[in-house]
Amino acid sequence: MQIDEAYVDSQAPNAAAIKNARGVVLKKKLVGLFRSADGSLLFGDCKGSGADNYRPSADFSDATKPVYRCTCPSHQFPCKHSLALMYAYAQGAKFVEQEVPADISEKRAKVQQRVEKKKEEADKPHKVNTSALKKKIQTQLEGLALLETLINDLVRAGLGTLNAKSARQVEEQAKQLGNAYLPGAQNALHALTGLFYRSQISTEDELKTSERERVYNAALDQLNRLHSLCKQGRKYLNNRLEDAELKPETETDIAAWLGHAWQLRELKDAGLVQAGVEMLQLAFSAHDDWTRKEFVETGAWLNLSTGAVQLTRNYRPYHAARHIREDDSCFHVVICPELCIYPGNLNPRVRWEANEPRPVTPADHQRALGFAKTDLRAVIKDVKAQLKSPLGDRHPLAFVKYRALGRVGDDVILEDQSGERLVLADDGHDGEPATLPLLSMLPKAVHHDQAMLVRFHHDLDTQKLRAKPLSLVTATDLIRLTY
Amino acid sequence: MSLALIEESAKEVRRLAIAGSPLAVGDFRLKKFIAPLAAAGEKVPVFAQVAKSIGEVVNGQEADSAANLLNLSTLLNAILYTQGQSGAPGDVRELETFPTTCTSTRTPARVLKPLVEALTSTGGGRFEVIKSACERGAFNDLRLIDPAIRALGDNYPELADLVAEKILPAYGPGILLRIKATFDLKGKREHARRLQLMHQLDPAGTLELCKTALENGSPEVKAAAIACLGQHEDCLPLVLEQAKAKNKTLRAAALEALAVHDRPEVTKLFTELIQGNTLDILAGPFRSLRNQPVLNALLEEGKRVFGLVIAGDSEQLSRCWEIFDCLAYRKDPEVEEFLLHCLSKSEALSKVKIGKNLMVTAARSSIVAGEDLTERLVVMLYQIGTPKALEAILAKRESLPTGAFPQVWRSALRTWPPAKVFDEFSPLVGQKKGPGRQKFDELNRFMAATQWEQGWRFAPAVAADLQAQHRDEVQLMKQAAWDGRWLDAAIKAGESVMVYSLARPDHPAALKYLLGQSAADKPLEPHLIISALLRCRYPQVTDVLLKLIAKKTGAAKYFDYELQLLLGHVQHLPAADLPKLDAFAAKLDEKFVDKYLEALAPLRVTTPTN
Repeated sequence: MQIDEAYVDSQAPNAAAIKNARGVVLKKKLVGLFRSADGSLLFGDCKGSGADNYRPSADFSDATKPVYRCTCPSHQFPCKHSLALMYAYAQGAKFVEQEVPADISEKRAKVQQRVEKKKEEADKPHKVNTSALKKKIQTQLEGLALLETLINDLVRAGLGTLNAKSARQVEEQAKQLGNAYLPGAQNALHALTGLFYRSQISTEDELKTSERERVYNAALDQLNRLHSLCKQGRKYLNNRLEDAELKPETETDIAAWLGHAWQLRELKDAGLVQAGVEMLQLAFSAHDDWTRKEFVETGAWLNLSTGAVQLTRNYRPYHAARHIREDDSCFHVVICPELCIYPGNLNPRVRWEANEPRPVTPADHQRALGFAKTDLRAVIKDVKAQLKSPLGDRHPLAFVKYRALGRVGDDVILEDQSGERLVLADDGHDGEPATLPLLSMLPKAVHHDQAMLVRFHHDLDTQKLRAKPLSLVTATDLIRLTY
Repeated sequence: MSLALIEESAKEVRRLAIAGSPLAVGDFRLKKFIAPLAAAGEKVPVFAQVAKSIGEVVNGQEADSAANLLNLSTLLNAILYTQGQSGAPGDVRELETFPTTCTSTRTPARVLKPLVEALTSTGGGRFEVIKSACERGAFNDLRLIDPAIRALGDNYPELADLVAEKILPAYGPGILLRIKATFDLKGKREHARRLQLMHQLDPAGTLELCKTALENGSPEVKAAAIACLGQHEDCLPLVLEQAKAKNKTLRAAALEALAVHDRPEVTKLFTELIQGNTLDILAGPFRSLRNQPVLNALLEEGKRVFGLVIAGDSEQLSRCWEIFDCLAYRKDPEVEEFLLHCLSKSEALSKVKIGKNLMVTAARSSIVAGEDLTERLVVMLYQIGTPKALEAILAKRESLPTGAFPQVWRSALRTWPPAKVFDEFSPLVGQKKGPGRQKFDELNRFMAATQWEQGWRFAPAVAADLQAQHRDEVQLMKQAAWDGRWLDAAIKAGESVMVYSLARPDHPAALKYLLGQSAADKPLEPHLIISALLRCRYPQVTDVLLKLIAKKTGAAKYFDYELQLLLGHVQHLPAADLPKLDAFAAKLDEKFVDKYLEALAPLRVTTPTN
């Protein structure tokens, strides 16, 4: 197992754990460092606040699913002691070879039993409680009826009457959507109402007239999405009501729109799985989605087998944020034995249960460049096809090869080999920083014949399709513009 | 043509969605699009769909108006989404390049985010985050340039200055355009920093901007422009003009900029100003002034004013203080000569009182008595530091005010042998009140500082802001040698801090005194006791320290400064005592264990696995 400091950083649940773990190493609290003969287990003794030393360990018997254990009372995994153990290893500290401790051998055996049991269960046909499912679908249909009533009332009254107070009242009513197993629909409604007040509750909650004018187009677009959600959702749920054995739909992402939380097992059963995939992260960003009341970390990855740009999303609700591992930028190639792909369009969401990192090599950059789309016209056509779908992602990503970056008037453009152009612009999406000014600060060499990951956005006010640069890939480097 | 119809229809739908969908029923503006769209629909079916959908809205029931309007809006938006303009016609030119010295973007988001937050938000604790990031080179990331530029306007000026002086210049001239993009001539301090930074990055290229800023800028930006233009010989006439500006800040900036230039017009200007009533703004410029005629003129004026003060003219006290201000930190022989002359009259000077009328009318800051001037004089001579100056101070030691004692004491240490120092100052030991006690406190603090590694804490206030002087003080402390009789005198007088400072090996009385102090219920300055015992090479020092730590942590709620100082001595204990020290960790309250173990770390000379 190759462990470097970047790998240990990536295993930490949050930034504080990294800091504390490095502190443990610096303070020389690790008073015993050991490794098993086959190198699959690192373990040690660590001074803590108690009379007895803690016994942290990092078990790589399955390198794709490392197991971290410690006798400390921390609820975080890996805890700072296990992380410190790995930092010490990455920094070249001397680990003495020793027998695997008996307690860890026992735990390893139990893990093996669990894995086998899980495999057995996975092989068994999954039984569905049809009566409970029908009851749930019925509740969802009632929820959709409520949503439809809410949006029709809004449209009848006119968006002009919607203000901070009434938007919050609508949200109160929309709480019933959550009870009706429609959290996705509830979030979509919050995306509409959230346009009409500020993120921080203050005396200046209300938008100014000029600000209101700017949100009407977005609000109407969101209403259209909700309207389509009601229609398509009702059709989908009625189909499932008629045939309770029917699996969630995988052709479109309507199930996710309604709030279906896909289990990896479901995705595998539906065949939405790819084996032995290598993924290279092209961009990473994190933002606070206050309408969802969640922190969202998004990774944009290039599937090095298919060349598809796929997304990882880590949602951390405010109330549980501390207990959920915060995602970070990844500077390795991630090897996934099984990559589960959510239903979706251009950039489907992906997840993996287990992964093994390996360092990025120049050959990976070459592979990535080989996957960059050379025909900008075709890319734009695909993007527009997605945008015209009311429930399509409004910010599709594409990895494109360009002949040159240049300027036409005040616009910065990207031009492909055939001379097709795409205007680049910042979009202020999710409060992200501007990336366009960074292009001029890069070496001149990257302005020609490289590849760029861009995120599209259609401006409803100006009817212009623009793209924001997220990262650049050259033969030797990956330049990230967001964080 | 047909697409225009779609766009117009979308505008009407937007209007109706804002006003309320019932108004869409029978809406004539929307209705008028039906016919042309239907006609267009014969060629392109989607237009016919739109025409049909509009028909359903305008001819439908009010009850269905919302759903109908949303159906129409969804259809229109779907069409418009396929029509987004993505290109830009026209000639393409090269994208301008302003490469910075850094192109790395390998900083993980987890490291980047707290830094960006510290640079762009408000609140305490941010300065340390940025400073430590700066020291460990974490700013070597392209994505931090814009947040750092934003921080030039931070409410906390130290933070903004750190960014302007240390962080942004390291990116090189490539960032100039980014700084300029949001530069506001009428802005305040933030934009003054921007201008100075731009000038620092590209002096020639920013010259015109500086001239414009001088013409049209806000006072802050103008002052920055003056400082920049002052670095260009050919721009000095512009700066000279500003030396007569009405605004005092601009005048001061101009004089500061001109002071480094040795030119006739500068000489004339300064000579005139010396005769005027605005000497206070000359103090800064005089520190960098190298013009001999100007200095001579100031000394002449100084002699004249000092003569008047000695003659009893209390109204000249403030002016005399301002002249001293201008001469501060200068070490020219003429200045030393002038100051020595003044010191020779110190008895007369100290007797000059503040005039009664001045006490009522003058601003508080300008109330200066003869005694204050004497003290200032001694400080300045001590800073000059020549044997002649120190001897002069010592010669006047009996008549100088108590406030001048720190310089008298240091002059003695630098000049006299230890025995003479003891003979002269030992009567102060044991003084309980009045000037005698004040003087004793000063020498006691000094002795303690010589034994304390972090001597800066007791560094005298003679010129705390002058680093060179500070280094001299540290040097003086390191070299100080004490007559053996000081320790006996301190034990006899019960001056514990002095005993802690001077205790030495093979002095049984001192050891007895130290152990007695450590056994007290609330020992005074316990860390100094340990420091003294370590110096005395007392074999059971570990036991004493552990007792003191146990005493200190017994009822303590927090990890305080005194405990930190105590733990600071752990690293100097014998390594052989490590098992004893380790065993003690188990008895400690949990909240102190981490810090205790940290303190123990340097003692662990072997690696954990060995």
